[in-house]
Amino acid sequence: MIPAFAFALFCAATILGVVGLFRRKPLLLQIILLAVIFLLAMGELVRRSIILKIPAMTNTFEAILFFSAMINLVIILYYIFSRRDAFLIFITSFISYVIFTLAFSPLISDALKPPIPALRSGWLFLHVSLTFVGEAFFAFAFGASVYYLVLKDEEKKKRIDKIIYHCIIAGYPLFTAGGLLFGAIWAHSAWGRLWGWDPKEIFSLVTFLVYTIYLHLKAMSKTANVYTVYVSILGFLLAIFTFFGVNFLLPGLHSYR
Amino acid sequence: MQFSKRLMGFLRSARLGMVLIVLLIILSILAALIPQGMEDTFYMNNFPRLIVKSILLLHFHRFFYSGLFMIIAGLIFFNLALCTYQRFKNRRFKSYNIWPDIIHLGILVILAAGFVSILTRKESFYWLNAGEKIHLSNNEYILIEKLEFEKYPDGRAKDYITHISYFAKNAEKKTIMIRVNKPALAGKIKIYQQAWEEKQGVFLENQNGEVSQLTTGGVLGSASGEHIMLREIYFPEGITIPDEKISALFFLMRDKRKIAEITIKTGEKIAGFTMRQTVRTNQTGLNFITDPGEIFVLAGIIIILSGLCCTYASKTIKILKKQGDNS
Repeated sequence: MIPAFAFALFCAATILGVVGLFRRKPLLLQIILLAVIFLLAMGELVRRSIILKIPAMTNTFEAILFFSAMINLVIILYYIFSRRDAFLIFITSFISYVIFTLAFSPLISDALKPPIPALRSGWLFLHVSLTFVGEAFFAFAFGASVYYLVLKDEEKKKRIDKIIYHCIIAGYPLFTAGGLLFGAIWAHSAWGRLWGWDPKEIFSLVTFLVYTIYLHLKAMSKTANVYTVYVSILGFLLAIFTFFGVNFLLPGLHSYR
Repeated sequence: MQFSKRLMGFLRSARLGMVLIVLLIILSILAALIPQGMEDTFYMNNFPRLIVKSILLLHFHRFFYSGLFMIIAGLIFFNLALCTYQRFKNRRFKSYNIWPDIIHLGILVILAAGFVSILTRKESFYWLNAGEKIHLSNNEYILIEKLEFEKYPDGRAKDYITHISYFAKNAEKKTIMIRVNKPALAGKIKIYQQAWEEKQGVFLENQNGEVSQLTTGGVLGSASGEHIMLREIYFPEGITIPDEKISALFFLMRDKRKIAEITIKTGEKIAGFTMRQTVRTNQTGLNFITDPGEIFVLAGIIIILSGLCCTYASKTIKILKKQGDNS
């Protein structure tokens, strides 16, 4: 019920985003709606956590709600500090909207089921939450990268390049710690090995390596250049594939639904 | 002299590092798309001949343990080590930030420990029943005392618990509990709760009074030339179930073909056999592991985490300072 209501609000927020594009200024109402959606999604996760008695991040449905809520949070924070770039806010909220919509796919069950024994671990919350907070910053960097590619004004491009960089340096340590390091520690206590070359692990490592390349390219040339923007786009596409593609296409220990 | 200097410069260059990372990314994606660790025949049946040849030649079916992967990982190790050393040597520069090098150091520790782990790790998996004994060495063994299967109210698995006793020469008996996500140490060996299986079976008595046990999926030949296969046992809900309420589904087979599906209860007959009793037993799957490298990998993880935290903090301070100066 709550996610369905949030979905309706998301549709309205997306329409307001389009209006904001014409006005060349993000609308406050759009941001308020994104904040309400954030609160609804987090509320639903808290409700499920209370019923399950562990953090509700044990299936794709819950992961999608959390991921989308985190992207909304990054958008809200950006709006509070900048109050501009309607296109950037529109494209990032559209990504969040698309991800949120996937929660209603027939392939994804929203059934509230108690977790399997392997998921009953304190590491679950750290591993999943930090990964998605990191990826939320990557999503914003992706939105900014797309914005960069459509811009013509060099000054604006420089500013957006900085936003991409700041988002990636914010997301990179969170993704590395949550996705790779805490995941490895959890795998060590659950399966007796820190790393098993499971498809999800491989693609997480690949995503980490792509963003590592981005940071090194930035360290080598401080000026804005289009190659780093392409690397940022590739990084987010890989992160999305790691989340959805691996779950549904490549069988492994992480192929939960 | 000039050549060795240039060679060192090339080996520690960020450009080489990036080329190696790109190579690792491409090969890792390819390896992730090819099922790993299968028998050669699997690839022969599922891929074109030319691709199978390449997979087997380059050891792509076990890519992360192959020579090619080891060479790339080794080159990354050297590149990173030389680069970190050079950066540290030139640290007098005002702009020098040590924290990224701490991350590099952590990665180096993990890479080195990974090699140690590959060379020294020992792992054995066993399916065990309650009452079974496993020798860990000449002087120590464990005994499976009890298997516990915790369930949610809807019947789904909540936890699998194995209670064991650990016996060592000149030491007192130790009682240990192993559960999912909570391994236990027996001597120097870590034991993990890896798998669980519920085995169901029936005791069947033939016309001569001989009793045989049949588990699900098992086949038994009768005097009339027919075979019976136990397909499933239906246990009604409840803690104490009377025998007459339990039924078992059998496939009656002739010449390896199913000719009938028959469900009988305790005391009833099928193909000359009388079903006497049904049994339900749990089996635990334990993984026994020793890995001298893992402690160093964990140390590497801690180093990276501290490097990440400090890089993050120093970068944030730098950005905030810059913004403060601008405003």
